[in-house]
Amino acid sequence: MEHAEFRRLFGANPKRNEPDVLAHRSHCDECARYAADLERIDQMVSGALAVPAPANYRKPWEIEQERRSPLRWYAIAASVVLLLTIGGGTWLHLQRDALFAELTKHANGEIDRMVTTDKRTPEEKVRATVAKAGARLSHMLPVSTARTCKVRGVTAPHLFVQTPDGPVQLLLLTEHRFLIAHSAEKLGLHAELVPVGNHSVAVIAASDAAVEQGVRMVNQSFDWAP
Amino acid sequence: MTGSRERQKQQRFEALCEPCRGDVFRFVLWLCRSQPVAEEVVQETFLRAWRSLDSLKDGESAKSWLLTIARREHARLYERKRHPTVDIDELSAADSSALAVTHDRDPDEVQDVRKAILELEPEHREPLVMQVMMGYSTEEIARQLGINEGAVSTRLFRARNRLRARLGLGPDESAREDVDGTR
Repeated sequence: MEHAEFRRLFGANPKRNEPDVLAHRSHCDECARYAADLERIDQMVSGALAVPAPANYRKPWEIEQERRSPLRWYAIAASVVLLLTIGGGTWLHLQRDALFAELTKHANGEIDRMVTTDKRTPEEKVRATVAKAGARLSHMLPVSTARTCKVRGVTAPHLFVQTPDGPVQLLLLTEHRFLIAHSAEKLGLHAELVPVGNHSVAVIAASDAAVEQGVRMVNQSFDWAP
Repeated sequence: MTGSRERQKQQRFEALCEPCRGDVFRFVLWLCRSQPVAEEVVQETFLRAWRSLDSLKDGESAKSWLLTIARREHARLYERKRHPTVDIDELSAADSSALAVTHDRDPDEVQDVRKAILELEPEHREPLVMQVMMGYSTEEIARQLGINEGAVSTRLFRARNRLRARLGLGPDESAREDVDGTR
């Protein structure tokens, strides 16, 4: 056996004990030293690798049980609900904010009509205008101007109403439904979206006091069936 | 699953897999070079083994079955988390306190050898750990690594010679062969 072959065989496995391997080792001092080196290395490696297994191991069925636990699923479900609530809330807020922006922009475009005046629109015209949105007035309002506008492409009766705190604009929104009232301030105008049946009315004015008066009038006068 | 069947399964698992836990942990530790990662891999390995215990027909092959799962789990973990590469010196320093020396060897020598093992290329370290620590034959290592026995022998030869050189015991004979192109 040649030296290189011995070293290659022994290097791959120092436990080789074939007769020709052992014979070469006993006849060649240099290869014998090489073999002794590798045996020593294996002993050192064996000692160095001997690391105790950690004690913080958990039985797999305990983990399995925990992962199947209803509490875990409740926690996941709660997280999903919370996420949806936050996400949904944010989405609704953004939608509302965009609507407020459009409504105040529209109202600002007709700011010239928002003046205190004794002028009143005939009752028939007012009733006919609100009827275009399917609404009805149970009490007549002091309307100075009654127009029919469009909000997001949908017919929206637009009334200018006189209140003790100043004029307010009312926009009847058939396609927007809210569970509670929401308010905002944009372009120097105060606005509130008031739910009425399955619809809503936007009340827009120059002051909070006028908006409050407008909201009161809306709640007392509109009869808006689904 | 009924209570008694569950208990039977637990007993079978305890009998076949639990005794291999130390070896699986050590194998993974020297594969990934990080104790926390090794602990995580071993925990996931045993969880997967528990779930598919029915597929282990031959109890004799439990250790090699677990090693196969562990190697796959180790690869999966790295794929998933993309653990940063750890500096060898930092790792060795950290391990010196984390990895207890359970025998009466010189702690400095153990530390040097561990460092030298950690510095080996993974393709050399893995078969060496399998052979020295787990007593695997060349054939078993070849099967586990999916390479032929000749390649396993070459890797083992190179691993030992590199350790020999790094530990200052003698020259790296495999380097000479690499230059000669003998193998």
